[in-house]
Formats: sequence, structure tokens, C-alpha cells
Amino acid sequence: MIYEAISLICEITIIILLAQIVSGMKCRYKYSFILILVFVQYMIFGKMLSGLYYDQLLYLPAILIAVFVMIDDTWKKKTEYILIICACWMVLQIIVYLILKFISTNDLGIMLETMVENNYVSLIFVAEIYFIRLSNIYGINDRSKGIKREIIVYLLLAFVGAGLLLCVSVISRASKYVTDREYSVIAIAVAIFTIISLAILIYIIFHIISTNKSTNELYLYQLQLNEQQEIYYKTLLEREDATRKFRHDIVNHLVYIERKALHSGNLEILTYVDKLTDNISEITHSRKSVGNNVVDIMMNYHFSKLDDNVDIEITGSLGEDIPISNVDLNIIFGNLFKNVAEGVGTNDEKEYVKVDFTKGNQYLKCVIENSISMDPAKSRKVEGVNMGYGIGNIKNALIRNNGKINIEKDEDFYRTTIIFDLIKNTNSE
Amino acid sequence: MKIGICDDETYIAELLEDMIKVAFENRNVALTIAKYNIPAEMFQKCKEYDAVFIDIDMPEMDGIELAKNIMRENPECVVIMATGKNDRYRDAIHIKVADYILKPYRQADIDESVSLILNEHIGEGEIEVYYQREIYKIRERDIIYIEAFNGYVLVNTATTIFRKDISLLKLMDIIENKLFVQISRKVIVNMLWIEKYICGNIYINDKKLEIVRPRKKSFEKKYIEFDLEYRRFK
Repeated sequence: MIYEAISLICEITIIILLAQIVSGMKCRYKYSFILILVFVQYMIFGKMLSGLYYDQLLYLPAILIAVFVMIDDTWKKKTEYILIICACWMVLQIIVYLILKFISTNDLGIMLETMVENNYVSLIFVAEIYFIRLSNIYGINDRSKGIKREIIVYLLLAFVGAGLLLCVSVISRASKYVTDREYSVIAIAVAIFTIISLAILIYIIFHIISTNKSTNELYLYQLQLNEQQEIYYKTLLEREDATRKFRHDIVNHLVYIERKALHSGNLEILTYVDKLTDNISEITHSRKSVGNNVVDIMMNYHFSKLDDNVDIEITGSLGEDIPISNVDLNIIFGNLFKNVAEGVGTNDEKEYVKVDFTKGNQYLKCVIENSISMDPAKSRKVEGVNMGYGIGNIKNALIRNNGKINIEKDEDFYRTTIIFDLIKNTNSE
Repeated sequence: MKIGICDDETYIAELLEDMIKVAFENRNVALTIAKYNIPAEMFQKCKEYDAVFIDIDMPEMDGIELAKNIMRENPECVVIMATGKNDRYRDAIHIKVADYILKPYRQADIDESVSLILNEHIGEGEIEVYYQREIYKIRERDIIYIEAFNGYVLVNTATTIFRKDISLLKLMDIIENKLFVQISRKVIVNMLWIEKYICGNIYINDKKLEIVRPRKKSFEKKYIEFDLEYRRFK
């Protein structure tokens, strides 16, 4: 009975380890005492019921209860895991049993002993995989554990090699005491197979180690590159800041010169400075921000695809403090700006895009207007599988946010007006 | 109207003053403009001003800080940030200033800011009313709603109910039409006081007023336009 109880504990441990290996579930080690409880209850009640094979009735529920308590995850996932993994594990055990039964000549007694032995062997096998996973043999990010990882790899390799050699030597020794020729042949076959497997395993391990080394080197280079990039971008930002400061100061200087020229009546200087300030004004006023991160990102992304000759005018502001979720803002304005970027065109006049946000106490209005061309050949619209979903998605998002859309179209412009009722939206949240 | 300009660069302040004066031409508004180089000086007199233009980057005090202080001391003052830095835009939006203009100043931007200032001060006109047989002059913007009866109206403000012997129709010819909207045959409401409009009802100071069905659509249209035009950044 003690062997069955130990086998039960091994089974539970295997299932828990597999849960961590396969599904990434965590184990609540503080409930490990339940294994002791299972062991004790099986020892007590298993003996009482063993003659009738009712000990099997204790076996499964004990496994289920122990696994449910010790694994940390939702009930749904635990149930799914138990059904799928346990079923697979049992099928694997049955396959192993059938293979062994094919080799062995004994009956049901051997089957039970084999199952017990399988659990020991299975536990060692699963524990080995678990520790290999823990040692992160494929991992390259944790450089601080690099040396420790390599030692574990070599130790595991040594352990596996020793174990296999032990099996081979035991089988060979046993063959001396057995006169059955069939057994001797099988023993030799197993020995040869084991040696070949060991060689392959050693090759794989060394291959992994060498790949790790080269990957580690690449990782170091990448880190260096990242560091250098960071410094480079910092420098760029500093330069940009300095340029902005310079531009800010130069504007003041130009204004001063302009005033002086005005007072002295020097038209030539006045015209010259006027032109300079106009150029700077174009740069300064080329704002693509309405004070809301999501909308700014969408706007800058889609409008960056427009040609330089398209006049883009952004006025008004939106701010962050609005009762519309970022997801819906993304849906609405992402689609709108995408349509604008694809649809902007012109017949003969300049191409333009105008975006205006106005926010009142209760309402928020957005007007997006762009020039269009009657010539479909001049359209930037890309036909594809997802064509036509834009306006539908916008309308659905607007309904959720108490918004209304109005579209006006003429020969040379396309205007979309959206109005949100912000107070109604706040109340409905 | 009293306007204040705060910029550590005197010639920039002078330029802005000239541009504001140009913007106010033909608007029939008496205008006084004061200029400051030191933020603390402007803050001391901030309660006098209807609108202020503040530079963000000043050595003694950050313009955003000054704006916040002024908005706290004088909530009715329209604050406009004027700066050469595009990247402070979000800071200005965050504290809910009325507008943000960039240097070098463009006359179109100044014109827009001036329109905003004038919109914020809508309803400054006064009407004569009676209370306990005494005549009073009250600003239109202080009227919450007006209720009509036989040949006279009751003018409700935050503190008192005044009376005026005039029909509602004639009264509507006198007062600022942009400010008031008729919600029923006998009641007109000052839209500045509407806190919210939900499903045919308007809410003013815990009071609920129902809009009659025939007037609902026209009310909604007028109220949305008013809210977006005259109550921005609140």
C-alpha cells in the first residue's frame, strides 16, 4: 500500500509540474501539506478498500482535490487543464504500459508494479524538464545568472548521461542472470539505442550552449547599440531644444528690428523682416496637436502620409479631460483622419485639410474638411478587404458616446461635422 | 473693456497692444490696455481686467502659474496665453485658458482672440426693472430666466425676482437675442445659466425647466451653437 501511496504523491507532483511547464500556472506551495494529508488518508482508507479495488475510487478524487488546491489559477482554467493534460498524461501512461507489456511476459501484477515504476521514472523525467525550464537554457536576457545557468546545464547533462548509462549497465548485468535469448537481444538493443540517444543528447546540449554564446554576444552588441542610440537621441533632443530657444529669441529680435524699422520709416528693412517673420511664423504655427494624446497620434500618423503641398490647418483644442474612452477616440478619429488622408485631392486649387475642435460646457464639435477631386484617378484611396468599414465603425462609436455625425459634400470639398453631448455621456457612464 | 498684457519684452507687448487695437476697430467698444513687464504687478491688479494676454516664458514667474492665479482670483477674466513656444500648448490647455496664440503674432489670431473675449462678455447690456417699487438696473447676463404674465414679466436672478411691465414679445426686442431662448410660450431662459440639458429638460441651480415639444428642436440647435460659441473652455 505504501508504494501505491507514494505513486499517488508522484502522480500529483507530476501533474502540478506539468501545469507549470505546459500552461505556465503557478503553484501554491503553502498548500503542500495537502500531499501529506493525501498520503495519510490513502494509507488509512486505501488499505481498507484495496481488496475491492475501491482504492481506485480514492485515487482520482485525491489527485483532483490536491491539484485544484495547489494550482493558482481560475477555476475554469484549472478544469480545462485537468481535463486536457491529465487525459493526455493518462494516454501516455497507457501507451508506455502497452510497450512494456509487449516486452514483458507477466500479467496484471507486473502492470501495477510497472505503473508504480513509471511514476518514479516519469517524475524524474518531468522534474528534469521542469528544472531545465527553470534554468532558462534558452534564455539570454538574464546575464547575471549566466554562469549559474551553464553549471546547471552541465550538471543536468551529467545526470542524464549517468542515468542512461546506469540503465544500460543494469540491463546488461541482468542479462547475465537470464537465459532467455529474447531478453538478451532486447537488452543489447536497448543498450545500443541508449548510447546513440546519449550521443544525440550531448550534441543537442552543446549545440544549445554554443547558440546561447553567440546569441549572448549579439545581445551584448544590441545593448551597446541601444546605449549609443539613447545618447544620440538625447543629443538630438538637446539640439532641438536649443534650436527652439534660438528661434524663440530670434523672433523677439526680429520683432524689435521690425518696430525700429516702423518707427524710422525704413520700408526696405520692414519688408525684409516681415518676410523673415512670415517664414518663422509658418514653422511655429504648423501645429499638429489638439491637446489629446490619442487624437494627436492619429492625426500626425495619417497626415504624415500627405504630400508637402497639402495645406494642413489644425485649430482649436480638445484636451484630455473628456468622457470618451481612448478606444472610441481611436476608432472615430483614426478612421476619419485615414479617410481624409486617402480622400484629399484637388481639381485645380491647392489641396487642403482643415481640422477644428471646439469644446463648450456641454458639447464638443469637430469639423474636418478636405479638398477633393472629381477625378477618381487622383484619389489616394486604396481598395482592399476592409474597405467600407470606416463609417460604420465611426457611427457605432458615436452612438456609444452620444455623438452625431453630419457629412456635407460638394464638387471640391468634403466636410464631416461631429457633435458630442459630453454631459449625457458622463451621465451614461 | 480693460485688457492687460504681461510680457518681459517691452517691444513685444507694444506690438501686441497695436494688434489688439486693430482687432477692436469697428467693434464699438471702449478699450483700455495696460502693459506689464513684471507678473506680480499684473497679478495685483488682475481683478480690474476683463481679459489678459500673458507670455509663458518670463524670468520672474512662469506664465502658466500667473494664469492659474489670475483665473482663481478673477474667474470672469478671459486668459489668453501668448508665447513663442509650441511645446507649452498642452500646459495651457490643461489649465483651461481661453486661447493660445503663438509668436510671431498674426493679426488673424489676435482677431480671433478678441472675438473670444467679446463672446465671453456677452450680456453686459443692462435693463431697468422694479423691485418693491424701486428701479434697478441689472445686467442681462445676471438674469436666469423670465416668466411672462398678463402685461408684465417676472425677471428671475440668483437673488431676487424683479418685475417689468412689458410684454414678453417687446422685451425680446430689447434684450440680447443671442443670450436668451424661448422654451415655452411664457418662459425665456438665459443660456449662460443652463448647467445641462438632458432629454427635453434644462437644469439651472437645482431647478428643472421643461421645454415644450414644439420648441425642442429649435432650442437644441440654438443651445448647441451658443454653447460652442460662448462657453468654450469652461
